[in-house]
Amino acid sequence: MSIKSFWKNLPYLVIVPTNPNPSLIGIKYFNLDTFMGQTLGWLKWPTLIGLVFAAVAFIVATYYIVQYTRGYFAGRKIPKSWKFILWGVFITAIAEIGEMLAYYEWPNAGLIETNLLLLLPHALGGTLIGLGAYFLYKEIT
Amino acid sequence: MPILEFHAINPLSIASLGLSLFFLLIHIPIVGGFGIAAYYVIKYLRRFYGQRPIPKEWKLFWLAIVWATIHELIEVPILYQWIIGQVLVIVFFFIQIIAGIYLVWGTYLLAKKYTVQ
Repeated sequence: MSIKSFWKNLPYLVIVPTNPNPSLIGIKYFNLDTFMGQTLGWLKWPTLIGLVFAAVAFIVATYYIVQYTRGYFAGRKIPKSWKFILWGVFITAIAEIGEMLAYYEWPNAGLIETNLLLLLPHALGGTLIGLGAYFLYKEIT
Repeated sequence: MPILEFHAINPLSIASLGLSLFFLLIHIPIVGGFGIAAYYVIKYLRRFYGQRPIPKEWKLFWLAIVWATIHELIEVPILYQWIIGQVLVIVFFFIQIIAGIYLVWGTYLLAKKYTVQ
């Protein structure tokens, strides 16, 4: 099967397609009973706990990284590597909050939640953490 | 919600082609960033500590990044709805919890070692 015919044969819509005309903010569609448009049932509370835990973990980690860098570098200049990692972890915390909103608002997730709180912070956070770790390695080689 | 279903959904057809492409390409820095971080942190630790044992706080910090990469990776089939169902939500729950525990534990020990005397 050629790649062209492979793509052609794939279904053209997701199971719960997103609203093609999303609103700017979709908070009014926020529903703890659904996840990506699917009814959660008994998984309602475990899902909420997992999503909140992930967001809180990144926020707490940001705090501890600040404490670590202050303590370890104690007045010395904090290197680029740790600055990048710190900002990456903090921005990923924002992305985790946006992710939670988008999962619960789907298929009517707002443009702000999807782009400004989920996709862009996730991409920026991932890039900063990746670059930070790269600089960490380069600083000793 | 079904128990577990797999669907072959074209990632370039979830919205207009431009938006679908943007959506697909933005996952490269999301997953790749954490993956690269996991790769370079272990390279840094092996280089920095050499034959000496890697301290627990650094091992945990590295594991946190590895599990965060898995966390970001599983979000791709969730968003594209390639996999849907209760099993996926349960797996996602455990990945988030494990990643979160390693992240808080690792950074807490790093902070504790250098700040709380």
